[in-house]
Amino acid sequence: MAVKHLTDKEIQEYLDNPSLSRREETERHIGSCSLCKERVDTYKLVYKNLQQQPDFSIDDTVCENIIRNVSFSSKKYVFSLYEKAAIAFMVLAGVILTMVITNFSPVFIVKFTGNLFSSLHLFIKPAVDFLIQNSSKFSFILFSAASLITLSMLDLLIRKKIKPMHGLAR
Amino acid sequence: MENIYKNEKDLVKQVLKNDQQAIRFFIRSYKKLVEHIIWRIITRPVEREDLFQDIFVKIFTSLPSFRFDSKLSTWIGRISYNTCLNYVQKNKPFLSEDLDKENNKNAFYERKILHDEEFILKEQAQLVKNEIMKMNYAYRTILTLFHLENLSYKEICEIMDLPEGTVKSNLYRARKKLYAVLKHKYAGEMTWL
Repeated sequence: MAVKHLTDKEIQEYLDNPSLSRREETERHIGSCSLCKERVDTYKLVYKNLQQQPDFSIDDTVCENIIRNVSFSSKKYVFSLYEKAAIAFMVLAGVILTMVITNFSPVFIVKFTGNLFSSLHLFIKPAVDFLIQNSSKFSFILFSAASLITLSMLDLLIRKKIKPMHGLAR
Repeated sequence: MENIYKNEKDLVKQVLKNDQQAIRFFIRSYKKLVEHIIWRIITRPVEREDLFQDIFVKIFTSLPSFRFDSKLSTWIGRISYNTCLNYVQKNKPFLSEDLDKENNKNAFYERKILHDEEFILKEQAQLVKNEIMKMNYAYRTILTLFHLENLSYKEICEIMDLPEGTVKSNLYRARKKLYAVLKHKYAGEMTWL
């Protein structure tokens, strides 16, 4: 009867898992088969070499330099009333500008006259009616300028809020 | 250094409060993991040091947004691995030239006729190291994380963003390749090793 030798996969599994279910059976085979024993020994050598520590270590002064320069901002950013007003104004300006640009198209109006927005409609409708009656090139330019100013303010706010962490210079 | 922190969350909390002792403990705790990943991917010592600093800058910059969805070590490993890969991709021609020089230097050991056991062990280590450096970055990193860091397959998968099957088969192939190299080099001499 031909002897069934261990495969590479079986040897690796045997060396990886001390709790392998077939461990006893595998060990019995290794004990009686010189070919498999030699292969297991070579694999053990591979594993031993793979566990060797690198010949490289970062100097402690580098770590100390990082430690010295780490600093986290403990202050949580809170929007001021002025900033909150600016954001609200920008949102409103955006809505109005959209209305002007779309020339108060029915599609836009229908959105606000739907059942879901019926309560909002009470407030929006007079404003929309007013704008329809008074729409002109002048109001378009005015709204565009207002929106641009607000966008710039928002940009400044974002830059202020998302600032890089201090002091991590080399 | 003594671990006075209850868990990872506690440590991160203290680090974010600019506690110097916590920051020092944090760096000391994860230094080896970062070093091992850099060591297997980057060959030049100066670049290794620069990358080490870059990686920790990235870690500390992103730490406030870390949500503990994974283990801290896995998250740090992922940042280290990705930073090294990005660096290698940007500096590919330069690094391969450097690797050739390194291999030529190592060939010096192979040419020597060594009899002493200590030298043979050194030679083996060098042979395995050279062979590993011929492999792709994924193989090298998997070998390092599994054998040096003793990480589980799941953790390696998270760090490298690879399926478990791929990690297992890459690890198997890499070790089989190293086995073949040692077997070929020391055929018939294994009994005394």
